[in-house]
Amino acid sequence: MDTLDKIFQFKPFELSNNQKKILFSEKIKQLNKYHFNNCPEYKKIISYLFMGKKINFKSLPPLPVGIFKNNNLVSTSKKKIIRQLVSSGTTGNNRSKISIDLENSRNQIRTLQKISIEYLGEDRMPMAILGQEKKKSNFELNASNAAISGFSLFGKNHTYLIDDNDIFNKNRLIEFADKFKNEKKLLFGFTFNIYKHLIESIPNHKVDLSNSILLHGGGWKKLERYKISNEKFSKILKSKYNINKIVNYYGLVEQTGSIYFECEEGFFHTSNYSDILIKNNKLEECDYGKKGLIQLISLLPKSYPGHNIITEDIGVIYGVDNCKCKRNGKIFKVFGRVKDSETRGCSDAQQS
Amino acid sequence: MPNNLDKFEIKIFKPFDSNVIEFINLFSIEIRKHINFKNFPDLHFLSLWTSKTEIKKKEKLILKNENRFGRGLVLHITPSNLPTNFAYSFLMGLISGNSNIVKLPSKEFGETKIILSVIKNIFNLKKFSELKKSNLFLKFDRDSSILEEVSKTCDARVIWGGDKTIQEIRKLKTPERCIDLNFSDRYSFSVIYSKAYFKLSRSNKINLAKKFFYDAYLSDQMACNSPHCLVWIGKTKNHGKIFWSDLIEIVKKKYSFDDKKTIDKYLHLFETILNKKNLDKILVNDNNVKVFKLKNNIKNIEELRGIYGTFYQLEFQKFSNLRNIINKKCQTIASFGFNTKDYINLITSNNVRGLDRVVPFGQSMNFTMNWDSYNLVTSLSRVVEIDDQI
Repeated sequence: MDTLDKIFQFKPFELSNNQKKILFSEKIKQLNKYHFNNCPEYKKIISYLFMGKKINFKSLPPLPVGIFKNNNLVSTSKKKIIRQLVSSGTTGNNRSKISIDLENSRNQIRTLQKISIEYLGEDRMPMAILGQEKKKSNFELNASNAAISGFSLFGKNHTYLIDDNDIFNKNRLIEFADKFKNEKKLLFGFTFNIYKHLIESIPNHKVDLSNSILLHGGGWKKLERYKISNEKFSKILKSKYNINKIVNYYGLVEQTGSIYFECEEGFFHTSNYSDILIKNNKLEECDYGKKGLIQLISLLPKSYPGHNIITEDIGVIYGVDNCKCKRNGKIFKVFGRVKDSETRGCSDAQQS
Repeated sequence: MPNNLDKFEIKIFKPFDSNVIEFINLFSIEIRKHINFKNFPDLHFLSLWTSKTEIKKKEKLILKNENRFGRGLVLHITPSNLPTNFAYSFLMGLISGNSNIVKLPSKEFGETKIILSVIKNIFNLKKFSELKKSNLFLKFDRDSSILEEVSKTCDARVIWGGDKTIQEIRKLKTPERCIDLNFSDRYSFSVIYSKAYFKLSRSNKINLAKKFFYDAYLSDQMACNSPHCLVWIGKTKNHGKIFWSDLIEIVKKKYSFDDKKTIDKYLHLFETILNKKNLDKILVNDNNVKVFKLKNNIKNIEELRGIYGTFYQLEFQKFSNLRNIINKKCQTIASFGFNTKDYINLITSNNVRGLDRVVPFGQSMNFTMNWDSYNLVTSLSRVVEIDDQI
């Protein structure tokens, strides 16, 4: 049995750190070897860095997340690729391109499902989505549509709140609230969109969405401009819409599937399929409690070498297997994207 | 148009006008007095450059018997990402006898703030009221109408930027007789004669590394004049081993990495390994200093650029091998162990077409009156023929 299948036999937060370690490091070693042998670019980088030394496949340096922007890294034959995920890339930078084959796609969905159940329950709920309905599935899928199609598997009676003209349709939300008044409901959207449409646009309108869970994540780079705290964000939504449960998620398009949900205590948890490290400005591992660059490890990426990535996000780990919510795993918080340095240079007089 | 542009008046002076020199002299003194002066090595260079003796030296380079005047209004489009470049550009415009409108860096730099506050204070003195009216510092971005409006009426533009930026700005209409001085993207490197290096005492070796640090790290290797490559000339082995380890110690003490620099430098490492040709092995892979050894048959060396202390090392047996890497993109060589004659010979006997400056280590960041082969003062001024017989 494949190590990943072994891990799938457990619930995602069931294994303690010690139980997880053995299976996890075994799988990482396999993945390191697999990508080394199947992704020429990965092999080139790792061989160069280890030139003259024996490569230790137990622990290889993480790829910087930006490498997926300018390079198409693939660890399987091009023919097998069924989908290309692209990051939302709102700021005009190149977008990440992630090549997914069928096996990888299946594992992503399987994992997403297993993790989601732990937070949202097993029942499919009527679901309102702050997004557009995509009628046909394209080869290229951007991060927001990938999230919508991924999460929509957990709902039923899907209502898409953004119409074909790209406009938020308030009436659809009111109808949705009315129609499923007494049922447990699920609302999903990108954090920024939730802010824009549910907080900013209808300031004086009250819609009763009691008995529902709001699931939101991503897009907070845009939200940073508005300087609204997570607490205030939740408070407004709870008072305006009677939403009783708000769940924030964090994840990378480069590691779709092994997602992180914020628990009742306000922490993200690593699952059996993922791990996190925090790195300081010397790229050394930080102790728990110290802020630094987030490095994420996921057991899922197989069609591309995205299993071990250092991100441009800042976070802190607060402990392992110690959360009051009873879920195991390392618990952490994310504090947004790294701030721009005072980058110097004379080659961009016009940029501002 | 901002209000302060309405009050703007164009004044014309002779180059090295006494009032202007007095202003610059005072500027040099005041900037050194600033409470935060010591925190910014860039300001140290600027105050030296504006000192009385330095300005006097520059004045000698102008012919005395000409009736030379400023051209009129100079528009300075300076880099967003360099904290002091705008000041040099402005001062050259001023020394040449012009009125100046200066685009400020868009990023907030401590250095920029200090320079502006010092200038503002001096301008408020009565004797500099003419200068106050005829010089303006503005923050605006690429699509600002200010750029277009000022371009329509100015007499010269000094444009700092990448090749693309320069092309964009040249599209804007200017009066027929307006001149553009373009300072485009350039490449710089450093050269060490290894025999001379190994003769240095321990402390002088450290000093040389320190000077290299200033050349490279002050501008995060993003200025045109900061080095990306270090070339060792000679037959010795283990080139650079001592030098780089000295540099690591200096960087640890004098330079700070933030999260953004750390991750950008890490990404640069991976992109370089993946996409750059002609790499030999990696000599130093320390977070403070990274050094790639290059293969000797390198072409287009200007495509290999470092960031936040990432360098390339070349090892040539002979000094004349430098001809292989000096091309038209080449601006500054910081040199140790060779003399003026060596470089004159190199240029003439090898028909070297690039190269604008050769300076000692530690001087790469020094701005000179001749920049990218323009003499800035003569370029930004004009000669009026006034016949003696009138």
